[in-house]
Amino acid sequence: MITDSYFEIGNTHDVCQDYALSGKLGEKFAYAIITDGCSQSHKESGEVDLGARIVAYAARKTLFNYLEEVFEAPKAEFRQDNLEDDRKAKTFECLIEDLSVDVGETVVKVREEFGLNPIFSDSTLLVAITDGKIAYVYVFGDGGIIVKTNGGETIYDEISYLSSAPYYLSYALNKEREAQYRKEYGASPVIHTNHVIPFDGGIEDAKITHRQAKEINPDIYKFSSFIYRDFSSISVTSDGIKSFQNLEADIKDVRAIEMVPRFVDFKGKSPVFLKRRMLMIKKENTNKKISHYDDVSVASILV
Amino acid sequence: MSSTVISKSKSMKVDDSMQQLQTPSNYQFSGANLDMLGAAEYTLATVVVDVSGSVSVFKTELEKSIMTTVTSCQDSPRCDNLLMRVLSFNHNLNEIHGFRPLADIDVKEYDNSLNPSGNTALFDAVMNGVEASEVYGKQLVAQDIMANAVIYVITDGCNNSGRATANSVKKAIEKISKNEKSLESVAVILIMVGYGDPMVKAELDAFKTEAGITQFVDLTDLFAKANPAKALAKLAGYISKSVSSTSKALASGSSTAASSKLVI
Repeated sequence: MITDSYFEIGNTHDVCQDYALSGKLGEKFAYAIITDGCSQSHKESGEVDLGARIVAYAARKTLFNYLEEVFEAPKAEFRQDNLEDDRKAKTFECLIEDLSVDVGETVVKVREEFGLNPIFSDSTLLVAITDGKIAYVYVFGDGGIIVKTNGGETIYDEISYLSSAPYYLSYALNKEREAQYRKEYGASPVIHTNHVIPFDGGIEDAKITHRQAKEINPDIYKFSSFIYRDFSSISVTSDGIKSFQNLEADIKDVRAIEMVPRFVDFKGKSPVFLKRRMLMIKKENTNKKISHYDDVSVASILV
Repeated sequence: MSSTVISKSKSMKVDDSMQQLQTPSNYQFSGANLDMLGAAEYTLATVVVDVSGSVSVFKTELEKSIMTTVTSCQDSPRCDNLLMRVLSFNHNLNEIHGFRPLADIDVKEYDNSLNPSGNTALFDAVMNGVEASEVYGKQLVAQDIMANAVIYVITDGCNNSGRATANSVKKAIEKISKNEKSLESVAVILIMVGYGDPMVKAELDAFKTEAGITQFVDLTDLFAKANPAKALAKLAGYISKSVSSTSKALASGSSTAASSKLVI
C-alpha cells in the first residue's frame, strides 16, 4: 500500500485551515487523515489553521499509540486472519472512542501550553485506517469519502449537516459549548449521501441515495462511521470538494460529483501519486477558469 | 528517416534505470524510467553542443562549461525538479546521456566526453532536442507529472550536414508548442560561440527567425574580447540561471518558460 496527502488554500481564505496526513501504520496498516478548521472560529481567533494541524497530529499519535496493542501485538485481534469483520469493527469502535478522548486531551494540553483561544481546535476530523482488504473511516463533522472498488465503481459518501454547523470534537471539551450545540443544532439531521458511479458509466449515471444518519443511530450527530471492502483506493476529503466554481461567465457551481472521479484518477504508484493528481487538476482548472473558494484537503491510500 | 547516426557515448556508464525511446523522426534518445522519479513536476533541460572540427580549439573549455552548468544546477533549490540531457553533434548525433535526475549525474564523466571532428548537422540536432523533449514530456504528463522544457543549442557554425531543414525544425517547434497534452512550455535558445564571422552570425540569426527559435545569443564578441574559458564560464552561469528560472516558472504556474538575459 502507498499513501499520499495534499491540501490547498481556497481563494477566499488568507491562510489554509485544512490539513492532511497519511502514512503506514506498522507493517500491515495504513492511515489517511484530514482536518478542516472552522472559518468562523478562525475569524474570531486567528488560530484555527494551527488547530487543524494539531487535531490531525493528535489523531495520528493515537493511532501509533495503539499500534502495538491493537495492530501488531502477537495476540492482537487484528493479526488473526480469520477474525470476523464484526469483531474487528468493534475493536475499531473502541479505538475511535479513545481517539476522540485522546485528541481532546492533546488539544487541551497544547491550548494551555501556548495560551490559545479555546476555539482554536474547532475542526472536522476524518480518519481512514485499512489493511488493504477492509477499511474503517470515521468522520467527526462533515466531509467526504471516495472509494474506487476493484469492480471499477467509484463510491462517494458525503456527510453533511443540514444546519451547515458540523459537530466538532472540540465541543466535547467544554460542557457549555456542547450544551449550546445540542440546543441549537442537535435536532438538525446529519445527511449521508451515497453516490455510486458505475464502472461503465459517467457521473450522470451515478446512483444517489440520501439517508439521515439518525436512521442508523438517533444519538449520532457527533460522528459517522463507514466500512468498505474490495477496493483499490480509498480517500478522505474535506467539504472543500463542494466549493469548486467555474468563473468563466456567470459564476457556476461545479458539483462535487464532477470533481470526484478527477480526484481519484491516479496514474501510477509513485509516493507522490496524489500530489501529482491534485496539481494536474489545478492546472486543468486554471485553463478552464475553475477555482475553489474553500480550502481543499485530501488523503489517499492506494492498495 | 534521418541519415545522421545517433550513438551512445561510451564515457557514460550503462544505466538500467533509463529507458530507450524514439522520436517521430526516428531519433533515438533515453530518459529516466518514470518510477525512478519522485517529484510532481520537472523541467527538461537539454544541452545540445556542437563538436564539429572547428570547436576542437576550445573543447576542454566546452567540457568544463557543461560541468559547471550541471554542478550549478545540482546546487539549485530546484535541483530535485530538473532532468538534464546532453547531446553532442557533428555530422552525427551522440547522446552523452539522456534525461536524468541531477543527483544521478557525476560531472567527472563529462571530462573528455566531447570529440570534435567533422561537419555540422545543426538542424538535426535541434530537431532531436525538441522531439525528444516532446516525447518524454508526453510520458511525464500521462503520469500526472507536469513538465516544461528548455533546449540550449551551442554552435559555432551553420548547418552543413544532415537531413533536417529549417522548416522541419519550425514544424517540430510549432507542434510541441501547440500540444496541450504535453509540456507546459518550451523554449529553444540558440547560442553562437567561437570566433565566427558576420555571415555565420547572419545565417544563424535567420535560422532562429525561420524556425521560430525563442532566443539567439551571440557569444562571439566575448570570445574575441576575453578568451574561450571566460566566455564559456559566463555561458555556464547563464544556462544554470536560465534552467532555474524555467523551473520556477513551472512551479509558479507561469505559462511561459522564463529565460534570463545573458549580460555580456
